[in-house]
Amino acid sequence: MYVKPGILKGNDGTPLLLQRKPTLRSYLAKYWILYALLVPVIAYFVIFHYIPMYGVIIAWKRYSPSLGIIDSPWVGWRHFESFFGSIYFWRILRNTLLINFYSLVFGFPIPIIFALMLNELRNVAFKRTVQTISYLPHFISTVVVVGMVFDFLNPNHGIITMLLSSVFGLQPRVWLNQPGAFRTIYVASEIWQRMGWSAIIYIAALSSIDPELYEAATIDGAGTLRKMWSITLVGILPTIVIMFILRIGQLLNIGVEKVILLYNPLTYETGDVISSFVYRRGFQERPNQSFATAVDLFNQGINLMFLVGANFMSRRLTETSLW
Amino acid sequence: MVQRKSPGDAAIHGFIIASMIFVVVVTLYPFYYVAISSISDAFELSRRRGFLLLPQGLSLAAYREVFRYQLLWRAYGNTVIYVVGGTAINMTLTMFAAFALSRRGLKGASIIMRVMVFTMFFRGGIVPLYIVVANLELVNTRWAMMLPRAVNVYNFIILRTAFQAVPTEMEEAVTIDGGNFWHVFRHVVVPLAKPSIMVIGLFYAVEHWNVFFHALLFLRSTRVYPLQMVLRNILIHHGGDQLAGDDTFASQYLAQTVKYAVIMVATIPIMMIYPFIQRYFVKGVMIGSLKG
Repeated sequence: MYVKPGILKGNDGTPLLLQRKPTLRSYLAKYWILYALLVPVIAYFVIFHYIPMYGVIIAWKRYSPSLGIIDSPWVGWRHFESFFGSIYFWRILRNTLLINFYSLVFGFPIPIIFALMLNELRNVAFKRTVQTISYLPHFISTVVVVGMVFDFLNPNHGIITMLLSSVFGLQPRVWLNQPGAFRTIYVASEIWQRMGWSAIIYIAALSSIDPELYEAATIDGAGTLRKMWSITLVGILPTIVIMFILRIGQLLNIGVEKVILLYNPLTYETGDVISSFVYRRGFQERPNQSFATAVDLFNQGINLMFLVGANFMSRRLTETSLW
Repeated sequence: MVQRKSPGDAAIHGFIIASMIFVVVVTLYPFYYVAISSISDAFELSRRRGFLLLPQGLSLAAYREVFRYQLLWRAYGNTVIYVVGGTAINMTLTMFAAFALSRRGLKGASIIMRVMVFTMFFRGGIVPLYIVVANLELVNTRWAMMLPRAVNVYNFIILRTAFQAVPTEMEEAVTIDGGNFWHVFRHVVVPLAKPSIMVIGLFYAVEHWNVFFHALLFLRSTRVYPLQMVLRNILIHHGGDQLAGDDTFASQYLAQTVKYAVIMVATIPIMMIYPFIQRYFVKGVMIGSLKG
């Protein structure tokens, strides 16, 4: 506590305490431990976050590992220009946006519907079992999930291939080599893996709805659907809005892991997204690390704009915002 | 008070229950399918593909192959190292940061907070990160799997919130007795915030168990490969064929069941501890959602 020197008087006018202004020495005597604890943390952020942030200057250089970041020659906006001028620009932008758009259209409402339905279950044991099972896939690694996708879509014995051919009459084929199937495979497996986990936040929000509202609605003769719509859904609307903003802020962000496991050169056309393109150009085919950094930087900038924009819209429209 | 449901409501409830059962089946069947296929006889299985309810013949041949596969076990060992060591590093730094920045009166705290939170919104990207890791000569070392993601800011915020919730009276009791902040940390905050600490530890541990991209980025030699990297080679790059030994007629079939067995071996640890830890995860998300 910082107390001004002199005699402090309480409300009734009597002297409270006589205290001198704390010196730097006495402050450090108490707080040095906290600074000591923060030293490794700050070192971590400087080394693994802020030095890489400084490192983005190679987007304007022709980086060569032997010269290092500082001594590599400047090239101006060349990498950005060649990226914007290339056919890849529209392709990866379109793929990133479309995969995210489909994930949003299908993947966003499903956890909400799931949470609403779960909320209607009266048998507690059943409810808890369903819930527990639903988020199990979230903890399975991407590699294993994609491995299962490969097996289930195998043209000869995959169970999904068989299901598609027997129920929908689709000829068995190597689905993972079909450009037209990539986004569906990506989004569907994503929903399978994340539905239950994404629903938790809504389930948490549901628990704070006042039960009296339901009783009152029942007395007024409202049916189950009516209550789900007017009480439950309305009750979790603020959470939905926040999650929606967060999701919009991610519209140009797709994790690299799953895409590089799922795609192959035959499906680059529909499956190659910004992050996978950055990885390939940075580390795989004819690496050009400066170019890859420029693309990554462009992606970061757009992401930031989306997030700020979505937050601004939300504050205007609903008075709910992240900051 | 007994209420009679209207026919419409009864239909809705029926539909909801059916949907929930559908969710359970769709979620669990893939795992079940992999499990029964892994203990099936490879040849029998190849003749009767499709939706199976029971193993086709019984054979542990696939597991025998998997257990002979040294690369996989070395990778398993590496993953254990990454999970234990990585989580220890994560927890040490995250708890230090959360504790220091949850104490009142620390000068510069808000600046340090901002420095940390900013990294959630802007990153240097994978190439500059790689350059740093390479300059530190960590490429192809185990450190590359543990250091670059030492603090997850989201986890830090959750833990800081939990640490802030510890009553200040308890802290004062320690300081009046002549204890310093380290005593407060060791004897008050850590014991009282144990459930949250567990949750965060579990988040980190699962992340280390599952991560694959950093291995792809930073590791070159199978000596340090984690499990996920080897799994990817077997499941997705068709390494399972080599795994089933010689190029004989029988091994062609075996390659299939070997893949299922590999999936089982890689997921069983998670499946085993999952029922015990899942409620902590939920709690973690709840804490996060309150002040996230």
